[in-house]
Amino acid sequence: MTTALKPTLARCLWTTPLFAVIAALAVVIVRNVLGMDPVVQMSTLLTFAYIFGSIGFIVGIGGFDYWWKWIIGSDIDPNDHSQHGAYSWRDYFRFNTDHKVIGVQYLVFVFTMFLVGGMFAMIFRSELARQGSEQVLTNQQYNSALSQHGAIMIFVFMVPVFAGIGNYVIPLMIGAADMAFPRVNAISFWMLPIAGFIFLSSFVFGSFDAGWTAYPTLQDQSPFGQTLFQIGVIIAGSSSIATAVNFLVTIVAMRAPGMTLFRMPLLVWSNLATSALVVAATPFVAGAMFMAMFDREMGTNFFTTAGNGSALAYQHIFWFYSHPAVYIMVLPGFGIISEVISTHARKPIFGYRAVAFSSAGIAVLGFSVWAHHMFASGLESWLRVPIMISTLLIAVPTGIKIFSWLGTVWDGVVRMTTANLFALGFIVAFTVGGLSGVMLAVVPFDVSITNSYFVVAHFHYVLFGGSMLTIYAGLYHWYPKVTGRMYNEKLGRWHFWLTFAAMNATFFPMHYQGLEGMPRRVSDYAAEFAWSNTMISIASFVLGASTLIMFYNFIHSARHGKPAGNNPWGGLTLEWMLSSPPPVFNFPVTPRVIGGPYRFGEEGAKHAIIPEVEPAEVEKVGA
Amino acid sequence: MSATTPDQHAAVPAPQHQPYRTGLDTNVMGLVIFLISELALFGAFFMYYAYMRTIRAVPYPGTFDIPAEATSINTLILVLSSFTCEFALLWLVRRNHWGVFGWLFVTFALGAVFLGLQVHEYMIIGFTPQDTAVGSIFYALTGLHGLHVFVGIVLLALAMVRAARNKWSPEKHTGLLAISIYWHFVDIVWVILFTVVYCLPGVVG
Amino acid sequence: MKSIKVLPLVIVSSLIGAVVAVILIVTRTLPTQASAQATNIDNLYIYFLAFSGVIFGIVLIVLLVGVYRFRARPNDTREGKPIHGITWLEVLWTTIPFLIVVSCGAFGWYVLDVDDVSAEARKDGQNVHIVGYQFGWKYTYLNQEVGLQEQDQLVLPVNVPVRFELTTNDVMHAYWVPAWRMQMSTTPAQTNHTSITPTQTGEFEVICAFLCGVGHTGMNSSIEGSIIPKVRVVSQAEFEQWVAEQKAAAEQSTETAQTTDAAA
Repeated sequence: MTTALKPTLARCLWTTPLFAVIAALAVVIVRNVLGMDPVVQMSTLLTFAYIFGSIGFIVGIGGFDYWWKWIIGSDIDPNDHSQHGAYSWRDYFRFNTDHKVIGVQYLVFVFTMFLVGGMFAMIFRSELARQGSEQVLTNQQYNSALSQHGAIMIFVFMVPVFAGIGNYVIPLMIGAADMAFPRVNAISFWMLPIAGFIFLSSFVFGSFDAGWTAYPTLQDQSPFGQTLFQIGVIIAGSSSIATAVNFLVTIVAMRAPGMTLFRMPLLVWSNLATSALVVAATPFVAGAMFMAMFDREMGTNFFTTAGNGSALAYQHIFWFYSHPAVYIMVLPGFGIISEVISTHARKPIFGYRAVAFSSAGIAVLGFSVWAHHMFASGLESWLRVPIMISTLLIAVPTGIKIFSWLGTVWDGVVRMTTANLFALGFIVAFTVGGLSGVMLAVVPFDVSITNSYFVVAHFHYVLFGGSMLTIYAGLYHWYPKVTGRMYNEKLGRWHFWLTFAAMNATFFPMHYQGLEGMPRRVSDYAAEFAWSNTMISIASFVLGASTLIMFYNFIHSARHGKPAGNNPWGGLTLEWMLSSPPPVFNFPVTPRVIGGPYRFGEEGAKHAIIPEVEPAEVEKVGA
Repeated sequence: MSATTPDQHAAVPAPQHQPYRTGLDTNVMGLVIFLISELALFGAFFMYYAYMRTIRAVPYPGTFDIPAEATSINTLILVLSSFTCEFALLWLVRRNHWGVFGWLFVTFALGAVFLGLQVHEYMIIGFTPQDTAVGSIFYALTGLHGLHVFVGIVLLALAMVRAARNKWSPEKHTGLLAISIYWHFVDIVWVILFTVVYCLPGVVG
Repeated sequence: MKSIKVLPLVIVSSLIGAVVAVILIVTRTLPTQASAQATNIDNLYIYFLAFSGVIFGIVLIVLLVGVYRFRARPNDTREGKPIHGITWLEVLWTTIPFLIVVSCGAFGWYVLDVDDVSAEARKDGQNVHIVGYQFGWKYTYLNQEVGLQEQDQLVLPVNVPVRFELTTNDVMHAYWVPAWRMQMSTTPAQTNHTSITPTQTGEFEVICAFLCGVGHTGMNSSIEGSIIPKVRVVSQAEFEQWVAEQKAAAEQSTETAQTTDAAA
């Protein structure tokens, strides 16, 4: 009985339905009082039930317990750390304020969603494997599968996965005990399973089938599942805003003494830039989703043709977030690559300041390029050339990064660990994605080819060849730190080569398909694309299967791997000075940073030292 | 749960959540960054409003005049409440917790009056959120702001509870400071909203 | 010592990249160039492939050579050289990409400008209003002398500039004719414009490129069993003949309708 009252998943089992039912009843009562007809309107009722059910879940898991006590003036102990740290596997399934636990929670959850999202891709690739319509899926199901694939991969995988890696690594890297707001951090994690659940539960209500971009007015025709998509995006967006606020404050205010801005590891730099982007851009997608939801559920006329609304306005607001979102999904990856390449090539990052500033430059420029998604949408024609120029310019800071990594490899001592393989593979794949991006930035070329498979190839090279390979690199790089054990290097190589080969086999031919005239988001195609689609489908199944190697490797090695020791890679940044896995409260004594983070090759050079005794602590004792 | 006994925590040193170097209050910093994010949310709606009114040139539904004069009074009320909210902090310095309570109550009351007048305006304004895109965005902007005022007065009420129990002190009042910053933010957004939505149509047409 | 050899390597790798670019350009598989605009856009594409090949060649080969030459031996405890950057090199690899993207922008702007034939089309070309619907297209010829309404097939005279007005009454579609390198969406609540000069007679595929619902896949004339008619470009004489035929057919159908009305 008491477990049902304590902040656990068990308590969620009754708080979630309770909040949902109360909200539904309130809707019925309000509609009754206002004399609206019909009194029981299922979609309105469900909308409120879902929103308040989500709040109920957070209440159930214990997100508000502490603040509630504070508000009503109960006695609370700010030094109560009973929710901090994991002492058994159960602690990973509760509201936990330890950034390391939250990082692991994030990664495990988002990779589960990665499997689900990948499964949707496999499903619609099997439809595309042979020419002919409605072989495996009906067109309706096909549209749902591709929308789910996009929504899950972007909102509950690609954006939060970097929050997961950042959560684990950043406080360690800057020498902090935890994030600035550990409870907010925990809440932002627990919002994600809600968003994932909402996306998937939309299948009960016909799913959503207007693509992950969900342009009006098509989304007005979709079943109720479309509203759930909007609620899910808003919740996932709130989660990433909360995380970004947390990262910003943590990075700005909680760095260890001596860690000046230009002594920060580049992962910290890129997360700083990313978090600024998230804070300023994500509310726009929330705004667009709210308006679209009101159009669907309240009969407002934001984007409807009949009510003088503008469907193009949705695209403006949506892309004002969703283009910066592309940088949100790749900038932290750039940070990971800088860490991995520098450490495994045993050489300082080439042009540290240029790489750091290029992150900031991308973040700033990222706000001026949103309309390049709309060149063929009837965009205001005076906007086309300025947007083309700014989009092209963003290639320059990206190029700086690529060349700096090449410069880092040159003259180094390159260790071909799995993490480094992924990092080097990333450079190659991302160059392809970047070059096709430059092509697509140019208006006349873009309007001749947009919405085709060329675009699909481009953004999969950027998001899979770019972000995904950086995520793998990061996972292999910090796996020994997180688990305290080494992964199987041989399996890791298998994973890399299979993934890299299958990725290119899957996505490279898509460029040609697009150029030859195959539109995206179709379930059937002309005869000339038959053999290439069959080949792509086979490659995509190999790509899907290759991830299983990683899962096996990581799960098996967590138990049976060789002990990793504190610093298997010889890294200089702060996290490698701790035991693997790190102690519950990270640093026993606040570290002192005495130099740059990548001082490889300098005799006896150190990034930081951990003093024997906390100087402040001594003073306190003396006083 | 059973694994997490307090004893295990006793051995490890307490973590430091306060900054080592900057000396900035992380809570206030976090709030300010969050409010920037909130401003961006309003920005999405303002962007839509500006787009529809200028590039698309969609008029307000019907021949309705925005009640700029009546709303001016409302604006004054909200600006005034920003001052009364600040007075609460001044009285806190004097360690007069009933003074704090009083000023919080005045702020709360002004906020409530503002909300009441806003709802009254909805009733007399003559168009609904369903009346064309501009009707929708008018309600969305004022409604979103109204929601923020509502959250604000709930927070003020909670601050009053703590003030009555004498839980605020000049040394520990981050919560009160946060509420006042939030309240100023709501006020500033209203001034922008008032200028853009209520005054500009009168000037520009 | 080692850094001296970087320059020849870059030159060699850019040459290899150039060879790759030439292969890509020669083996490019694009649809036929059926419009004046297509030639310009393909030139743009060839330019992209040229510098992309060179850049990709440099990145790939420098990376491969670097990784091979500076690979760690087993139990290697050496460290790399503590080089934190070479300013002139960084300036160089900022400037060159900058110049390349600026040239792309200039070239793109130029093509955008010359491809726009709407002024000519307005003066003495064809003007066609396209309505996208779920799931098909309706064409209305706006020129007085043609004056055809709500046609199912687009037929155009060759070498005459055409200006399209695109709109829709339901959801967003995108009117894509790959052979013309032309795509423009039919966005709800607004009219979009684009223009083209067909230079080749024949039948060309027309594809809806934007997800528009369950019938989106079928809204593509190249799909087997599609009911969407292909775009036809014919000589001026044939076009006039076609217009006359269509008008006669339209008159006949109205007459039939009138007689049925009268009979009723």
